[in-house]
Amino acid sequence: MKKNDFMLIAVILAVAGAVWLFHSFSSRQADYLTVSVDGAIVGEYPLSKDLEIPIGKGNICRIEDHKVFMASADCPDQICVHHTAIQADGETIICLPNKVTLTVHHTKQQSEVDTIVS
Amino acid sequence: MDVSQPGKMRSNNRKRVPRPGIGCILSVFLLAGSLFTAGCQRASDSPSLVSRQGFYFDTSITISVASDDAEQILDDCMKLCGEKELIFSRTLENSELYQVNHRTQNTLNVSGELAEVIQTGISFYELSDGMLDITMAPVCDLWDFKSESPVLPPKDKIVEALTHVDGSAVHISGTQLSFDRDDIQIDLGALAKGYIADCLKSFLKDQGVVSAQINLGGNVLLVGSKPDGSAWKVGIQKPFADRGTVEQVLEITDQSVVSSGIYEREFELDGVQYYHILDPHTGYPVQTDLAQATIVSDSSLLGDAYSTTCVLLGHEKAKSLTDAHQDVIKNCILTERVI
Repeated sequence: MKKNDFMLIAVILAVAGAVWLFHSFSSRQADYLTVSVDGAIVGEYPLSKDLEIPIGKGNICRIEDHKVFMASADCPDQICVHHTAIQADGETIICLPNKVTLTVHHTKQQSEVDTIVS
Repeated sequence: MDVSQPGKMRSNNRKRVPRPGIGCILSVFLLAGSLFTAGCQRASDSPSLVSRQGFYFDTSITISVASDDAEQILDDCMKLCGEKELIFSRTLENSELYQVNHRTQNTLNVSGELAEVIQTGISFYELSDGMLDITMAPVCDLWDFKSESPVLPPKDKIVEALTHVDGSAVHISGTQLSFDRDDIQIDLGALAKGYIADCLKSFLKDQGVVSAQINLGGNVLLVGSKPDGSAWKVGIQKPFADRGTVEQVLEITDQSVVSSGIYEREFELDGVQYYHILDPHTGYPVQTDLAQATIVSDSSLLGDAYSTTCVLLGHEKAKSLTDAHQDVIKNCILTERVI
């Protein structure tokens, strides 16, 4: 009886551990960047891997250290390039002339604000 | 994950209890409980926000809606934006405003929506002693604030364009619009975004949406509170800092927040800063001691109009204007310019 009890505890712990691992793994996978052009999503990339992403002809965005920024753009105003790097859920960088939008989706890191008035 | 973690820890503690039978039973309960709560959370959560982004009115718009029907509602919102563009755009040749500006007679009937926004423009022309002028289009067209290598418009061209600016030559009575002169054109850039945000909000409310967020090129209008019941956190862009740099955070429920500022579209030439808020008397950027004016109000149309008017008037007059209209202006933040 005692031995079986331990066995059962071990099994339950193993299951709980597996569930926990699965959750933390899947949530880490869930932190990603979506790139859209003119409202249509053209790519999704995990934040976990540093990456340079060319978008269309004019824009290049970069993922570095779980943050996203527009590395270069051929638009005249360069507002997107001067945007601060984004990393929290729902934060966006928009290149208006090229209609490019970068949006971060993050399961844990909530943005300090829901939206920005400018 | 949040629920299974404590379950695991507690089971660990239980191992030290000398009666493993109870530990085992407790573990079963904890595991069952954690699975149950995980299931419950998903079931009882109100619908989370679904966002859609689009490009209208020469700017980007983002609408986020909490609804089981979010995709359909967002489709309809984007359609609505397209329809409004066909009323208020000055550049689309098939828009109603384009027809007004390219009229053959000076008295014409317009849609109720166009009439309402023009009426607001005329009211603010009077309220601001002619500083907010919806007939500024010929001058605005000369200025290019988006160019990579900006240049000043030639002075004689500005002087010539100013002769076609006269806010007092536009009249509206009901839906009948009349002009005193043939050459007067209307531009509703300072007002239309606010009006359209209001339209989107009333559409969303008609659809039974109680939690939504509308951002039209930096104009923010909120429906209700966040899906979890807390107030929306609206960050105010810090003037002249990188985009996305927040100066202050407002907690807002069911209201509009609009900022205007001299940092939005600007360039520097020979040490002088030029920005897009132009003085209808000179045709050049207005002399103002305000870098930014933020208005919290119920109506986004009025918020849009008041925020621009404040920057045009400068700190002192803006203060008396907003003090005198506290019935409409729920909160007003005036940021002075650092020179």
